[in-house]
Amino acid sequence: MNFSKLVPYVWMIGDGLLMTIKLTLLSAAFGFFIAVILVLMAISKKKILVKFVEVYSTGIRAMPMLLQLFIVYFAFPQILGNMFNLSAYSAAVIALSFNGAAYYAEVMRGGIISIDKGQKEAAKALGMGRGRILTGIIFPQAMKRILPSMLSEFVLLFKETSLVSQIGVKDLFYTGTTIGKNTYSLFEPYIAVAVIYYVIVMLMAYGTSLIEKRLRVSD
Amino acid sequence: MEKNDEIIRINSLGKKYGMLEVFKDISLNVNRGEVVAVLGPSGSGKSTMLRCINLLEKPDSGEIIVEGEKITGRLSRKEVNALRTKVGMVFQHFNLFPHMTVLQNITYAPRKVLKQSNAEAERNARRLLVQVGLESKADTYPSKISGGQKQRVAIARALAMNPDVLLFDEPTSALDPEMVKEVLNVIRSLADSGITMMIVTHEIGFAKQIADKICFIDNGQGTVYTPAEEFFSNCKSERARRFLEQIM
Repeated sequence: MNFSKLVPYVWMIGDGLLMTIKLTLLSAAFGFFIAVILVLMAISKKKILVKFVEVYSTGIRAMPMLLQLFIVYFAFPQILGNMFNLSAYSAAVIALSFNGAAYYAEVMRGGIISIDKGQKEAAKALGMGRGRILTGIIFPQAMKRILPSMLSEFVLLFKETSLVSQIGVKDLFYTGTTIGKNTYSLFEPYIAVAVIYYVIVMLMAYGTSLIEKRLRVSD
Repeated sequence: MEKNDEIIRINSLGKKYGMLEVFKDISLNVNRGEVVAVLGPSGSGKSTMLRCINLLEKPDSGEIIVEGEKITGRLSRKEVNALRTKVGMVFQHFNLFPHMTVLQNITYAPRKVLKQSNAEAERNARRLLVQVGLESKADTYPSKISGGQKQRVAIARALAMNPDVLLFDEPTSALDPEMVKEVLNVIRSLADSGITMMIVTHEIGFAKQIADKICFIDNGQGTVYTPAEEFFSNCKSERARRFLEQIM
């Protein structure tokens, strides 16, 4: 065991970490955006939209993430040809975003329907329109309720990004493997990568607890 | 204010839930400055009738006219929202917005719906808080105040829209007994100040004190007693008499 052999690779590990963080933030942002659209469809009165969201979200959640990643990166280009020639990085962001959206939408929908219907009635009785009721009354309350689950989804996403190494995206995990191959020893790079994942997840957990404490002001 | 100016007219109103007929023939008019108490046994449809007036429920037959405008029939969303700003409502379970302070609860709709400036909305809200005796709670969240205080905030919130009529849907039924009085006192002072209101209540003594008219709903029918004393002194209906005997 000799961790000093990692020293020449510190920059590489840094790049890998940066890639992992970039993938997490970008996929979280896109995923959230898609999830909001899915939720608006799910709580609309159009049956076909509601059904679509149901099929989408059960479908995505029933399949392994790795399979979805391979479908986007390897399978789609085969039938769609050049117009779907994605870089591994883009494929990773797309797969992670659409996958995450199904989970976030489910969490958000649960949060929204858990809000007492008296809230909506009171807002209606004050003359507020549908959009105003959603953005001013329902969403803020639902957000607070779902935030803990959303943050844990975020932590899951951070770890799940490691799957993208399988399509050649140079993330933190991929970097660990590469260093291992170069130094003929996987132990040190994998342990180093594991510690980095651990520290960041712990930091995220700490951040989560701070945010939750702040939100408890109106309880 | 002209006392005989008609604000609400209800003509043979009917409401069904599927096959179940809640009521079928309620007629009533409410004039400016009048207090109408709606009484009747549980499940008689008192609250449902009240909720028809701001269209939280859709009536199935009959008509409702608010300030000369027929509100039953086809209305656009905009027209419905406009109606609701004229007809305030106070709910049994207060329904304050828990993510806003007391002050924000009161100013939110005036700012967003009536487009009042922040300063104007806040000035009105503080004045209303004084009126309901809660000026010290402006920056408190609803979870930190008692049920009676919540209901007084809810009343201030409804008043902030400057409605022409205020509907009270069992405003004291969810309160602990020791808090009923503070809420009734606020409602009484509103009645004294000439605000038009309809109040569904089980507080018969209170209804007797403040109501100008009684609307007694029972068995799908509504009977109006003007003046209210008629109902308590020489009520002709057998059912109304039995109702009074049971609760007084």
